[in-house]
Amino acid sequence: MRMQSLATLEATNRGSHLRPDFQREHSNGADTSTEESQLLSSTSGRGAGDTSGLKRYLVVFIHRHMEFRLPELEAVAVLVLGCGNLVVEPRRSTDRPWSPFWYVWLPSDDAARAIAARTLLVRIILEVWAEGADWPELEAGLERARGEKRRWLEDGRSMRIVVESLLRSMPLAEQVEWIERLGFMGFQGPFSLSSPEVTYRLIVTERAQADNVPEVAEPRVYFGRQVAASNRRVISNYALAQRAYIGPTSMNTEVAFIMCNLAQVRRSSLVYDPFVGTGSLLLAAASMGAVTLGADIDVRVVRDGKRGDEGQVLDNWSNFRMYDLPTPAGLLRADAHRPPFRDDLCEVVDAVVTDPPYGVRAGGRKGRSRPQADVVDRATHIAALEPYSFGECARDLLDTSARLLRTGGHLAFFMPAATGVYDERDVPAHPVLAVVANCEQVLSSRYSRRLITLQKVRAYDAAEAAAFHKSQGPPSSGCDGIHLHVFAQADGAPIPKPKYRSKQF
Amino acid sequence: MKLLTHNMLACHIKSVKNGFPFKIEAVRVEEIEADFDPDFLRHIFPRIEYHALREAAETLGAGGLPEQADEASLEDEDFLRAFHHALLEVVLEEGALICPETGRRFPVAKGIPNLLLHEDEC
Repeated sequence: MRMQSLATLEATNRGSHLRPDFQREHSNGADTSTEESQLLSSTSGRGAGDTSGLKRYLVVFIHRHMEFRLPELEAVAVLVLGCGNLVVEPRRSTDRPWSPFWYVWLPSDDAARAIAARTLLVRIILEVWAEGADWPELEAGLERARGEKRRWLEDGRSMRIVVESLLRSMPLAEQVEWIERLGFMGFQGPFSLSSPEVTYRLIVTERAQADNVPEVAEPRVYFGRQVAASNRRVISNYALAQRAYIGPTSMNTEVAFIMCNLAQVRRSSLVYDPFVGTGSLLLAAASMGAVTLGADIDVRVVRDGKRGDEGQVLDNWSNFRMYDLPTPAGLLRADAHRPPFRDDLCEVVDAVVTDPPYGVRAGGRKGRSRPQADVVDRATHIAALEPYSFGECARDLLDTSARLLRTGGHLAFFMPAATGVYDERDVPAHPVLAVVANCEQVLSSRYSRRLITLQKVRAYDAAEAAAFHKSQGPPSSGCDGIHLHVFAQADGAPIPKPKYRSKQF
Repeated sequence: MKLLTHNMLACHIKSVKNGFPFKIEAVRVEEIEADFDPDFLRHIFPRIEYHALREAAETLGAGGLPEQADEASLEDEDFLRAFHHALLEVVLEEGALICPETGRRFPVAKGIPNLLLHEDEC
């Protein structure tokens, strides 16, 4: 779905879901320096596709999580620049669908740097001086650009030129050959390979040499000045391998940060995770300066934690302490089917970021209702739980989010999907939530999961929501039986029951 | 549990008409310093049931909030500090939340309230 929408990228309908009036009232006061306020004033109120006052930059993505890349960039641009939408150029029809190159229009180098600092999937942002199908074409382009770029060539800044191919590691001799060809430009140097003030890049994309190597991009050569490079340090800073308290379904650090980016989590946001587990998503949100709130029905995971090698208690609080992040405003043991909030609570949460149980590695549970039950002692009674299908869980998640989110706020969550099982109509819907992105992450040959990002587009109306849910019939989803598909045995042997967390925990 | 959370919660037993606000039974209360973020405070203020917050703060031994407050109070640095302290720095570690209507006791242990309803309550 995403691919189609990218291929038909039309300036006219872009940003329709990102109206500037949804920006929070104090958005120019939140993570703001004067510089950002200037960025804001230069981009707000811009019509879609309007590039006046903007500069053209080439974004080169990391070649992973392909479907997440452009939605993450767009979300971060809105977040960092405070603009209504990011102007992305349609690509040449000859380009490959998963090419890592996208031209975008930004107000300044500083804006590019702010975006690169926050995204996980942008590798480099270049000010392209020329590009071409081959060297003669590139050379002609550079010849034309040379006059205009003279100040960069001659102002005495230390520099280096990096030459790379996207398909292979290029031998040094070949790199030198390219650099010698560029000699006509008249770079004055001084050269510094370790700490240059300016890095120039020549990026070559080639025809695949072997049949089994897919081409990532149309064969071309790009040359430009590197404006910004990505900062993926959070991935090692918050690595699961070093974290005090994790469980079998803890969210991968890179994906956790991408989810928070898609949900536009920022300083001063209030972020809620109704399936908090071991808190990976709230850790990412807290590191971005958000105030966090989490809930989980499994008291062992959310409260009790486990014991470390030296007998010390390891739990959700340990993680926040080890990273020196502000502890959540609340962690609750609560049932997502019966959210424990006051009835009039609404328009309060800025983002809901969550990984609900899909029934493959962990099955969902909700409280069981039995009005006639005889509870003798409430202090010691253990409440009975029952299975919670993905369909029902998704309906509750969307409805609670629709109520609690402020208008313009985002819900980002994963749903399971499998070839032959996934149907776009299975993406859960709600009258006040609009789909912003739907990105697939393949997990195994049998199934994948999709990161669904929704934005609240207008106020929640309980009667309207109830009527909508009634019209949909009993909650169900094509994903409800996904474990049957994932664990199907070739010889027709019985399929193991989906596990609840207890065994691994 | 910080009082911001207390202010959002209500007893959701099916038969209960008005489960807000929970009364607090405090056994252990801690004060934890939190980043002072005026933007967050101004943004959240209209969503807070102020009297419930003030009462809860007093139960936990954090006074300093005036009897009345409105949007204009947000211009006052002293008020913002007191509001910040009550909302985000006073933490109920051990105790219970008590439903104002039925007296049902929801225990709080390790800072985490157990709000799961029993079978006959939902």
